[in-house]
Amino acid sequence: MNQRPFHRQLGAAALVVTMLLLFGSSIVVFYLNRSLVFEQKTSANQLRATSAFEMAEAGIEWATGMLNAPYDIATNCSLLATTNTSFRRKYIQISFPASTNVAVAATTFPGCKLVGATLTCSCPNVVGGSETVAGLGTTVAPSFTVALQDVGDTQAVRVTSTGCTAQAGACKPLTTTAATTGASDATATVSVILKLRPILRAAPSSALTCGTSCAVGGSYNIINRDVASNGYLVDAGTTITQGNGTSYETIPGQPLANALIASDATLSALALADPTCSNSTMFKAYFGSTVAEYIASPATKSIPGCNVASTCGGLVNTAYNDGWRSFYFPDGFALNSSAPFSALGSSNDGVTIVSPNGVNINGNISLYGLIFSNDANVNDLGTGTANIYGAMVTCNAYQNNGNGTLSYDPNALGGTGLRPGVMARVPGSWRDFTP
Amino acid sequence: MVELMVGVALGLFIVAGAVTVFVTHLRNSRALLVEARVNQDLRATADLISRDLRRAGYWGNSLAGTVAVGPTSATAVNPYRTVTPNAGASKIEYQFSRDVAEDDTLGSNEQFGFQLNSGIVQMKTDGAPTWQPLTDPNVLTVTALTIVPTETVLDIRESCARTCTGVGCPTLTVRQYLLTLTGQSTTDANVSRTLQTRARVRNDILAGTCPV
Repeated sequence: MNQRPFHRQLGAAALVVTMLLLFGSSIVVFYLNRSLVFEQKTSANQLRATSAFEMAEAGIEWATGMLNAPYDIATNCSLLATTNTSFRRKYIQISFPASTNVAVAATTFPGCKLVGATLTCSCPNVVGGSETVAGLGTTVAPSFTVALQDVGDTQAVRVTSTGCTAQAGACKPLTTTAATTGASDATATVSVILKLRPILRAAPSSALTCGTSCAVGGSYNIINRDVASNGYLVDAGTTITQGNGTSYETIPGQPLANALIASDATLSALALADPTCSNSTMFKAYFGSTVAEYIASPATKSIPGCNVASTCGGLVNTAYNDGWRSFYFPDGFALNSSAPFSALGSSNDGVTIVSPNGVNINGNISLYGLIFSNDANVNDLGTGTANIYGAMVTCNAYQNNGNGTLSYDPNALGGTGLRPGVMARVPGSWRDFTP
Repeated sequence: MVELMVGVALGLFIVAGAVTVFVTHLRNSRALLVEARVNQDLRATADLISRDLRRAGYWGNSLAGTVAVGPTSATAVNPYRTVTPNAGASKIEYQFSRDVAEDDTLGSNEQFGFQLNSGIVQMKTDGAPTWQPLTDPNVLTVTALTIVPTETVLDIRESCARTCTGVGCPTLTVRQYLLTLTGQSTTDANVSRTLQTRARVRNDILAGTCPV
C-alpha cells in the first residue's frame, strides 16, 4: 500500500477552501447589507459636495478680504513691501497708475489650498494673454481658485470662486479654456459681485473747508484752478480771515470773492449739530461713515503716538511703504523735516489722513490727498513749504501760521477713481448657478 | 437507529437555528432598508430645500440697486427680494432671477417654493403655480415641515449723508430659516425620523432711502 508521508499534509487545500468560504460569505453579507453601503456612499457624496461648496464660499471670503487688504503682497499672497503691489492692484486695477478704475486680470487665477488648518495661497503674477492658475503644490488637500470678471462698472468686479475637494493639483476654475476636472471628486462654483464703497462719498468742493471759522495766517497760499469745483478756495461755516501775506489763486477770470464762501449755512448746520466733533456729523457728510466705522475699516491703518514729529515720520513711512493709504491718528499727526520722505502720496495715489486731534506739519514736505481733522482748534501747518495737494477739512475752526501751499487736486482726492475704500458685496449678486 | 435519530435531531436543531438567524437577518435588513430610505428621502429633500432657498433674491441687475444718481432719483429695488415663509401652512415661497439678459421682471419661471401637502413635500416650479411632489408617498409620509424664520434687520442709516430719522431709513435684512422635517415610513409606522437644517439666504434685502 502506497501511504503518503505524514509531513506532506500541510493543510493548504483546507486554507484555500476556508478562504473561499469566507469570501463567499462576505459577499453574501455585503449583498444583504447593500443598503448600508448605499447609505455610506450617499453620506460620502454629501460630504464631498458640502466640502466643495464650503471651499468655494471660503474662496469668496478670502478674495473679499484680500481685495480689502491694502498691503503689498508677494506671490504667496503674504506681505512683501518691496513688490509695491497690493492684491487689488495686482488683479483688478491692473492699469494703475495710468487709470485708477477697475481693470481686471481675467486670465490669472489666485487661490489657496487648505492643508490641515493652514491656508497655503498663491497669487501668481499676471502674464498678459495666457492663463495662469495658482501653483498650490501637490499635497492632496481641498483648495479653491478665484476668477475675476469685468461687469461693465468701473468700480465693481465679479468674483467667481471654484472649490474642490481634496486633490493633488490646483482647483482649476471652470471658466478657463484649459479647464480640466482635475482629480477632485467634487467641485462647486459660487459667484458674487463686489463693488467699491469709496472712502470718500464725495470730494470736498473747496481746497479748505472749515465747520466754523477759517483763519488763514502767515504767508499761506491757497490754490484751486479746478473748473469742476468752481475754483472754490475756502468754504467756512462762519468767518474767513487771512494774514497779510496770504495768497489766493482761483480760476483765471473769476473774482476772488466768488471763491471764498463765508457763512455757509449748510456747513454751519453740520458743525452746529456736532459742536464737539464727537458724533461724526461732519465726518459722515464727506466719508459716508462714522469715524468709528472708518477706524474699523480693513483699509485703514491706525497709528497711535504720531503726535511726536520725530517718530511719526518713520511710522507713517513704514505703513505707506507696506501699501496703506488711509490713516487714522488717534493722538494727532505731526511731521517735520526728520521724516524719511519729502512727499507722502502722489497725484494719482493720494492718502487720507484723519485725526481727532491736531495736525502739525513743519518742513519741506508735500502731502497728497485729504486731511480731515476732527478737533481742529489746533491746526498749525508750520514753517518751511509744507504743501498739501488735495484738500483739507476741519470739523470746527481752523487756523494756521505757515508758509506752505494748499492746492486743490481732484486727482489726489480721486473723486471718481478707485479710492482706497472697501470692496463690499452687492446684495442680490450671489449665485451658484448659471442663469 | 439511535445514532440516526440523534443525527437527525441535531441536524434539525442546527437548521432551525440557521433559519431563525436568516429570518432575523432578513427582518433587520428590511428594517434597515426602510430606515435608510426614510433617512435618504428626508435628507435629499432637506438638502434640496436649503440649497435652493439660499439662492433667493438673486438679481442679474443687482448693481442697479446700489446707485442713485442725483438728489431725486431712487435706487432700483430688487424685484426678486421677497421670501415669504408661512409657518402655519408649512410653506415657504421665494424668487430668483433666471434671465440670461435680466428683464427686471418677476417671470413665471422665476417663482419657487416648498410646501407640505397631504404628507408630501411639494416644490413650486412656476408662478401658475405648479406644485411638483418631491417625496414619494409610497415610501415616506412627511408628517411635519416647520419653518422658523430669523430675520435680522441691520440699521445702516449711518451711511446717509444727511441724518436720517424716523421710518424709511436704509436697512439691510439678513434672512435665515430653520427648517425641520419629520417623516414616517409608509410601510412601518415605527420608523420615524426628524431632520433639521438651516438655510441662510445669501442675498440680503437692501431697503429704505436716505433723506434728500
